[in-house]
Amino acid sequence: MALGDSLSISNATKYYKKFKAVDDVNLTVNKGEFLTILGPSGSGKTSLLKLIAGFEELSDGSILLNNLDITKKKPYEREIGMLFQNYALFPHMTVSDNIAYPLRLRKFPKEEIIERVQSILKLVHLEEYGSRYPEQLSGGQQQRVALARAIVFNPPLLLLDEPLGALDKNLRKQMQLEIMQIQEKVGITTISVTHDQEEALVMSDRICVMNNGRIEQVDSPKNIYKHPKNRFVAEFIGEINLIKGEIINITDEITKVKIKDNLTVKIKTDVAQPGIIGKSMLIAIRPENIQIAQESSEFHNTIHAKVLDTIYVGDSVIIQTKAVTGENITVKVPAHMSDSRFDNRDILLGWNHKDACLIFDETQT
Amino acid sequence: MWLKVLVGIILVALIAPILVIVPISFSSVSYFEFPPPGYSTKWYANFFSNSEWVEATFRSLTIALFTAILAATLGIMASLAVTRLNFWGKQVFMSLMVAPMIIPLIIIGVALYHSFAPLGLSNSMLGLVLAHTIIAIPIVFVTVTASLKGVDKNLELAALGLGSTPFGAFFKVTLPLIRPAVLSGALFAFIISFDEVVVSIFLAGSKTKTLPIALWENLRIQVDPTMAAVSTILIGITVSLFIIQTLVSARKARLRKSVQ
Repeated sequence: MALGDSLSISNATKYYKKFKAVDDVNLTVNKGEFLTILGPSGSGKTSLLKLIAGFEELSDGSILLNNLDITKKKPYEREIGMLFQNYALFPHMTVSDNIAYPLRLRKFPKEEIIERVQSILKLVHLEEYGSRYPEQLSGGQQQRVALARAIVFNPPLLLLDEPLGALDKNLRKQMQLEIMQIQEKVGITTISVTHDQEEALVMSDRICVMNNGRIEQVDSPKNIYKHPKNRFVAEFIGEINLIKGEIINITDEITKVKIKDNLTVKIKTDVAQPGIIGKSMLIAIRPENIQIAQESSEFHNTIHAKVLDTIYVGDSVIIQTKAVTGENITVKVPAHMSDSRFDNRDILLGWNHKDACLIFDETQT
Repeated sequence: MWLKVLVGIILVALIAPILVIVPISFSSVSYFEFPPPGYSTKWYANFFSNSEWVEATFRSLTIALFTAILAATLGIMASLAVTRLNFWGKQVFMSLMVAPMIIPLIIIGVALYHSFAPLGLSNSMLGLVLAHTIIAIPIVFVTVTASLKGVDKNLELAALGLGSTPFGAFFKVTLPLIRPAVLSGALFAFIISFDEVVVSIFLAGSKTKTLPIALWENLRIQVDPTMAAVSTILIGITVSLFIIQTLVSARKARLRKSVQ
């Protein structure tokens, strides 16, 4: 099977009339990597995918595939496989003919076409379906055919456009795993575009978060989740609590932040540099990293809060509180650790200094 | 119930005068009488033994065939432009494409008579094909545009992404999907050309007489059931074309289903 190639995009910019859909994007995707471009609608993620596929032309910048400049190449000269959101299977062709289409264009010998179609059908568990028409298949089966067609000619790069958007929830989970397995088996470099953060976290080696045509952050799912670089990334991925504060002191890796008169918290971070002392920052803490404390000595940091509401969501309980700093803070605790007696009571919220991170408060600068 | 009867009456009123022509064409007498006093095929024999009739028939079929091909080709190209591209003046372009359907034929006839003559196109087969194409393009344009709008643009992009040139994508993916519309558009173009009289009268000469014009000219000199025979042949060709088209599309649909 084919091995993936690296892709590198430099200074890519795309205008639609006056509108800058993609704004000076620099991105490198490594060989065999699964990278997800994540962003809200209108963030430029789909435009970027179309630019890579060659369906749109760059206004500025360049794209290299395996160190070869493909910026000026037509889509049919690029050798890139693409899986469309609605699959784009040719309705007048059987499953086999759909998959054989890219092979026939490349003038493969007949025997090899039959052989390859059979083996890829096996890979996507559809051996028996070769003679059917796409309309006779379920959504999940259609998607597998589309995936087979996109990789059967051994392209070094696979593009997925909202790959799971059209599937219902259960099927989505299953196809997620299946696509990941196939991608790993084939070793093809893959770029997926989605607005579903959970999908991005589960499937990707790295996530590229986009907003307003720009890249906000590129990192591993874990780092994106634990160390969001800015407010947009923090709020776009998962739930997060933001508390305003001012840096007053940095020692070793511990940064002291004043969040209220007479109230400072400690945060373990390598982001803080001496130059930012006195700067206004946001402390970002995930709801699951905050716990209910009995005494302030249990955690590095504690803060008093009043419970506004508790919501039971099965495996856990969401407690909404108003902290003494005035901010609303959401806490997520395992269901067995909570009960309704919290309602309207003052509780102590606690977290350890490594469970929070600091981000610049752009609204203040 | 009475509504069905009413519809029945209207349908009979529409079709009956045309169908009356058929028995008359098999009449044994040399004047129009319905029902005919006796039956014979001598008017058909008359038709086929007269070289002028036979030549006019083949000429009409040839012109109609080329009109269908030309109108379908140009119509598809215009439809592609309208559905796949955005360009300045698109609305005006679309209105102009269907204009021949709205402009009275007699005006088109006069206009073409005037402009074709200096080009040497009057009294020529080519001139008739071009004139008929102008009249037939709107029907192709309208049916194919409607059909193209229903074809997912991603299919063409997918074909390009899989390595096909734009031409290849059109012939292997788009065209098969719009084929029913193209066929029915071309069929209508064929029929429009095949029984076109008004514009042809301005352009056709002694050497390029089409079947409807031959019919028209004969009718002014003498009326005998040969006219009815010619009409019956015209009706027969038109109806059988429609039946063939219906059967072909029904068979396609059945084939699709049977795979299931």
